[in-house]
Amino acid sequence: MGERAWTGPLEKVDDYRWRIPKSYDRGMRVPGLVFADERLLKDIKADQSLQQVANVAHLPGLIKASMAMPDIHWGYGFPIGGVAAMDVEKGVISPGGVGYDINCGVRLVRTDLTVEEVQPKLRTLIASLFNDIPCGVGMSGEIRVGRKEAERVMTQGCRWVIQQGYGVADDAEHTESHGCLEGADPSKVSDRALQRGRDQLGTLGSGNHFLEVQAVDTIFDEQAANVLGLFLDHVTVMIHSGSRGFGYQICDDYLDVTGRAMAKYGISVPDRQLACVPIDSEEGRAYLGAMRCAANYAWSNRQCLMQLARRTFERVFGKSWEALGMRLIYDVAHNIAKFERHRVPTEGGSASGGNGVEKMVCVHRKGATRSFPPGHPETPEAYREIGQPVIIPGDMGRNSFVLVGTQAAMEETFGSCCHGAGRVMSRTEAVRRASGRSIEQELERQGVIVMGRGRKGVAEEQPGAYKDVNDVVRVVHNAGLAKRVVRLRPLGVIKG
Amino acid sequence: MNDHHAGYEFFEHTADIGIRARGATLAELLVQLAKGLTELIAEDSRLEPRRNHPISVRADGPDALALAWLQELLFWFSTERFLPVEYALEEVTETSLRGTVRGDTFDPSRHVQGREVKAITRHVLQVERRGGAWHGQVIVDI
Repeated sequence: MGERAWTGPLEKVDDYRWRIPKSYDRGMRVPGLVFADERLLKDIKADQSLQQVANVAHLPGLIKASMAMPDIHWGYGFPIGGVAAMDVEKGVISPGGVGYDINCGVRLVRTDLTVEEVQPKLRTLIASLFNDIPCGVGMSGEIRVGRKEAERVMTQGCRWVIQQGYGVADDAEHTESHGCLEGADPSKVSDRALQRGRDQLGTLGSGNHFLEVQAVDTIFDEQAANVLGLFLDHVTVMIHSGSRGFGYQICDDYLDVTGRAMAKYGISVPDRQLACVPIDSEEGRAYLGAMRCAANYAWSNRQCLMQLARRTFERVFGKSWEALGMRLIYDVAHNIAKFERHRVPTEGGSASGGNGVEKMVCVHRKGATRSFPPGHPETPEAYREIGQPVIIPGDMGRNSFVLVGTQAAMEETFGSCCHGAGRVMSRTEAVRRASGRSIEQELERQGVIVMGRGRKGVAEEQPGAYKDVNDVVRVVHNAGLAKRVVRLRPLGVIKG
Repeated sequence: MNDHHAGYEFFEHTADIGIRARGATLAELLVQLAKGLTELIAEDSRLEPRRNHPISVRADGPDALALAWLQELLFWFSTERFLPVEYALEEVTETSLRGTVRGDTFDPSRHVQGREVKAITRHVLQVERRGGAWHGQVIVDI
């Protein structure tokens, strides 16, 4: 399979933490730190992701450690499920550390509907969502974004689409960074990116992107669940999508730019996909300006998708979305680089010691979710006491989770935790295993209605292709990186 | 290469898919890689050569040339739903390519939907001449 199992050193720190010592490879500037238990580690060691954790540790200006979450799997350059925080003066920015799908992320909408109320109309609901929400290969959205509109999406994020009738101002309050990163610079975005983004706003995409109707299945923390408005057997809607062709093209453009510029800054990396430049450089600033445009596009996209879903619910249930209680709980980015204030060890100080100074760092989250604690100024007002909601989708046959951020994550992982279940089986292997079976029918027997457009899409995304998200979430919960609030189970899924 | 895919085959990557191809000439290799990309997007859809797309790409070497070529095809698909069917590559060197691609417009109501390819990655990108033939591999992001 072209993969090499990990044979390097891995030191056990405790039941949920493993260290790749700096001595493993001369080029490593900091150690690797992997959050996993023994069971998950077995799969993690089977591919090249730990080598990628070690490779990331080569990057200049990396603070504390090259970190990996329990859902880590083999990516390009950076592993998926990685966190890399950089010193803003001495550190680098890497388009590969964010990924092709800039600000791929997840949002969760609550409803007042119960499973009992939805069940009789479930098939109609899923079929209507499948019909109303553009998904799959080569589908256009209803919103065309010419140059003038694109400029607004890029600089105003979800605020602009809300003004166009896609949602309400309160939605932005319940979105990470209010659905808009400052510092977006449209002049750093190529025409090719604009062309690829022209008809993709309000489209779900394909691959692992989905829209899922779910039920609250287990409540772990009743007080926090009440604050979020999540109750047992109530129905939720989860949307997983990103910046579409617009973001993919920006990543591609800047992999070229940074790849070419590296030599100028005397940077060498063990993998072309790790191409990076100093944060404080012309190319670094240009990428950040363009990346923020894509992040804002992605928030606008998920905002539009949510509003399309609300309209479908209105039609199917004959009530306004407000009357159905379809409030956005939260929207998180899980492929992004952000400037944040964190406590970092002083030069020569210990990584885990309490001493250190608070300073601005650039956190790359590549398949990792922000996990900010109660009381943090960036945690929405309504959630100030419980912490920022952390939304973790699983595969379409098992579960998804809502957690809340913790102080421990702030201190240990720059306020980050896992982002999903993490793939464990290749797409080709998944299709082979689905041969002669109907994954749709199997899921239906479990009570999950799945509608997908691609011929192999559902087979490739079958539950068995992923780690069990329950195991992943148990590790981040037990390691203290986020706290479980509720578990969700799927009722129906639409896939591209 | 197996019997089903003369000239190209897919290989595994945890989250994505790789294309490995072979050709007697660099031009032939590039065409095989393009056929692999097209199959990933549209499976075995019946595609007709309905319109022409001129192409001209320059790059630093064979690796970068293959990358630029596939990126261009993916860009056409993303913006015009264009999928290649026939290739008339008139001039192919290790650093440049010029010619015409004839292809179809993807229509979800007529064609089979495969995968949405986000990007052509550089992760294990390799194009080289080995044993009298050109070999190439690339992973695409799904």
